[in-house]
Amino acid sequence: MPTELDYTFRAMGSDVRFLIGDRLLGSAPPALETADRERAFVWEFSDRLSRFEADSELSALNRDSRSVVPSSQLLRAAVAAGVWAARLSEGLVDPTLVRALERSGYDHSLDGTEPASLQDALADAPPRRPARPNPAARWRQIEVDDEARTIARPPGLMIDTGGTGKGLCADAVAFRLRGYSRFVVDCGGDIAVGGVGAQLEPYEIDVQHPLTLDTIGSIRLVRGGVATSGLNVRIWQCADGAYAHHLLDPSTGSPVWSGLIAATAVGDSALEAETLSKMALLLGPAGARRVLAQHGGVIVHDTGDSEIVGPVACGPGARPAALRA
Amino acid sequence: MTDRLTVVLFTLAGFLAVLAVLAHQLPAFGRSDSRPSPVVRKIYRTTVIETLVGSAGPTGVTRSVSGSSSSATQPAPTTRVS
Repeated sequence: MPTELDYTFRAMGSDVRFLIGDRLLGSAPPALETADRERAFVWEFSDRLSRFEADSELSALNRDSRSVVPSSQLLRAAVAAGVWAARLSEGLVDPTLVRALERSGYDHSLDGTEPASLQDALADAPPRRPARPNPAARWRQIEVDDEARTIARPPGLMIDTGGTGKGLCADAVAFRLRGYSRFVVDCGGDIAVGGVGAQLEPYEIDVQHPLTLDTIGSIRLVRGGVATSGLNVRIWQCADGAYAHHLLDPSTGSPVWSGLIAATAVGDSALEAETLSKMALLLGPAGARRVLAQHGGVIVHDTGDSEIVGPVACGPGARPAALRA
Repeated sequence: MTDRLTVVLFTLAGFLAVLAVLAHQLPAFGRSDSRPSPVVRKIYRTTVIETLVGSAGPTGVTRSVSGSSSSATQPAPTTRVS
């Protein structure tokens, strides 16, 4: 009888969960042993790439006064993922907004902090408008060289890998789980799915409403990724009484109020899904419908109403329009 | 000398008695039964949930193993804001 290991722990300020099916090869370690190993990887990933830890590799890079900095494979991969997301989103998902994030109050981890009321923030927010890329596009100045094992950028240009970190981490663990029949890697809601068993019996991924926390739909996923971005968790009230959150309009450096409070996207990978979900949220309803048209997704308006967009399918064998309300 | 002979004779007699009993039982093994004996198979699905002490903390971990049949009670993976 097929079995599936269900393994949950805390990392990156979120719940991380692995579902791991049976071994495809006898030489693969037992699922529990593999889950222990991958948990250690996720913790290391989080520690080495934290913007909030002074001794992390990312913080060291951001402090480094050299233009070209020798960097580990993990840091290069994380920075490359940030640049990839910026390129895919044409600068909307911008990894160079560290200063603006810090100015808005996100200069320390919010893990364990009670978020401010999203309803109050929405009532206080300026007129809704979509975000736009920063014309300076400083992310284009970042160069990752895997042969030389370096990262080049103008000194002082700080990089944040947090916008793509959970998706990248989910994809990395999923890649390492390919010796098992089926698997889900859920890094705080950014999810990678794979394995031949998932082709035969797809996973159903529930979509959680950001305000009610109810399930507003279920996405049938064969492989690839699904991710959600939203405003309701990392949101706070500044000393001047204004509300802020962590998703910034790159053109202004201020929190975006686009008319959406959450967006869920399906992608070929968790990294792509995370990027698409952020793009959708930043662009607001009209832009989100364009962004999500190919793979599908769900958007939640700031009225609380949810809307299914596109086919909501991923990979061969996935059913079109496979989202049940 | 006589005592040793007596012991050997008693031992031999006992051995022959055991052989006789076994020979008597032998036909029961050889008796053929044309009806196939029923095979009973019971399939159990075992769910194990193991929670380590301190699971609420940052290093806590919850582990469970369950069948992947449709009746499995594990919650579906959920995409959410984090």
